[in-house]
Amino acid sequence: MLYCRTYIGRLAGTLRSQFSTSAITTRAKLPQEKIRYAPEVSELKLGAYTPKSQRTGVIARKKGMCGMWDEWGVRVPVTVLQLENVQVVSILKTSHPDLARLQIGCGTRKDKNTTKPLLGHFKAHGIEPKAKLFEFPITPDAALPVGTELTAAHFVPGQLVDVTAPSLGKGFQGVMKRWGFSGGRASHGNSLAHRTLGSTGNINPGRVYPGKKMPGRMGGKSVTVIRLPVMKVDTVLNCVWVKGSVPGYDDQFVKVRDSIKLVKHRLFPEGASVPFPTFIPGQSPALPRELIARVGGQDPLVPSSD
Amino acid sequence: PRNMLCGNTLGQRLTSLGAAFQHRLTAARAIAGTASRQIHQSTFVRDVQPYILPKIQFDQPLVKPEEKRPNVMKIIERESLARADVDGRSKLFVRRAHFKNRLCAGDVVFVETFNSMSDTSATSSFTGVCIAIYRRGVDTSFILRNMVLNVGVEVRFMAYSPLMKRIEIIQKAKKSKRAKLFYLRENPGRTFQLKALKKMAKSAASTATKK
Repeated sequence: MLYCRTYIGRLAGTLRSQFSTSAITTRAKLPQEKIRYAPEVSELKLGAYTPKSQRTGVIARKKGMCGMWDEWGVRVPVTVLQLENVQVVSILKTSHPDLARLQIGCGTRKDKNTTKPLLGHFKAHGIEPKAKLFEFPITPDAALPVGTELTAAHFVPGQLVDVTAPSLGKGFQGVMKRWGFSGGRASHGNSLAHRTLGSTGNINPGRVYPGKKMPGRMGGKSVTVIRLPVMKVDTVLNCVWVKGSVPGYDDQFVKVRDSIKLVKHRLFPEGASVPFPTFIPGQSPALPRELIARVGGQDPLVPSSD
Repeated sequence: PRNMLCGNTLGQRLTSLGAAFQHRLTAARAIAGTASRQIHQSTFVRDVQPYILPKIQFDQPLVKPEEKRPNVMKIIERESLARADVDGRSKLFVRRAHFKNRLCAGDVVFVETFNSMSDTSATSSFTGVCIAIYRRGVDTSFILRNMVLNVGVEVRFMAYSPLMKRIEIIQKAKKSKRAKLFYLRENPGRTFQLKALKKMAKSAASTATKK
């Protein structure tokens, strides 16, 4: 649809001298004419979070897993994600009028290891070369100026996050591991078909459908784990502890963002003050070093009265 | 330049727990009970946050002076252990300590645990032979085995859990030739061959014959 409109628009422009139809002159504005992008924010100020806002995500490094005990004495497995020199590299506009994109960079990279095009890109924005770049869609009220540092205090302990990362590569794998097929019988006369695929189709249409589940390379694909609670925020070590596991190996770059697949009031815990658009050291209230999420609810170790 | 905004990740962020913050926190704890569901507004300053502060604060991460680029996980392990080691029970799990000071496989151990965090007066206890120890930093655990109503019962305790009240060695075993005494599952009678329990078994037998 968009392509058709732009083509017609260009066509209208070339033919305008020859033809002038009322349809072209009174046409609706094309989407690209409605683009609003986040203006260059020179002053960073705390704003008000609304359920319709979308804050930026963050790039972190998966450092490893450990365990912690919550306030009820229940052991919770956690993954430690560390933010390393996370900065906003640039603001990008989109064709959607209500969204912008922030390009976030994480880590450091030596100048000699950075390609010339990327070096130029970083130089243009006045940022030291970063090891990883990702973009996050945001609403314009969550825009951040280029160079803003994102810290672990961006996250509220108890909120839910989505973590995206490439999964561990498993190599070339058979159909039982890759797709969970049952395989064949172990004995009773089974010949050489214990872990095979079995049939690949019917006599009609007499061919194998594209996308038929077969052995192949498994893993190494982008996987998003959704709705992980943030158990702890460490503002000095710049770490976020999320409950559960996260795809990929240790020291890998992962994307962390506020959860989107939920009812909005479940995103942040009740009564939490959301650092919007992010935690600003001068303006946001000072935080202690470690903040542990309050799980709340009933004591799970006390039998309920029911 | 903008890159100057980027600070060092470790040790340079001094977020001090100011006196003002503490005062507000204690004063506002009374309001916590009456908190009701609210629309999230960052402009509304609330003194009571839905988070908990650890009881033992480490304002600076525990870094050894010889560590120039310390690994985050090492620091976290060190701090977790320092926090969880409430009554010095980490001495029981030091591998290099003398066998009479540390917990060994074959010792008779008495463990008392809180039933829940909300009521710390209610406790449960368990006594048994230690048949295995898993030294994993803050996730250190050990298994105690005993016979309860003619049924063999094994319980695995997480040594640094907040629900663990105390761990006491009732009787030390002679240094056993094994770290894991899983053979006791097949040979329950062998339990009483362990020196720690031999005495108890003998005394029990003598009282029985007397009667």
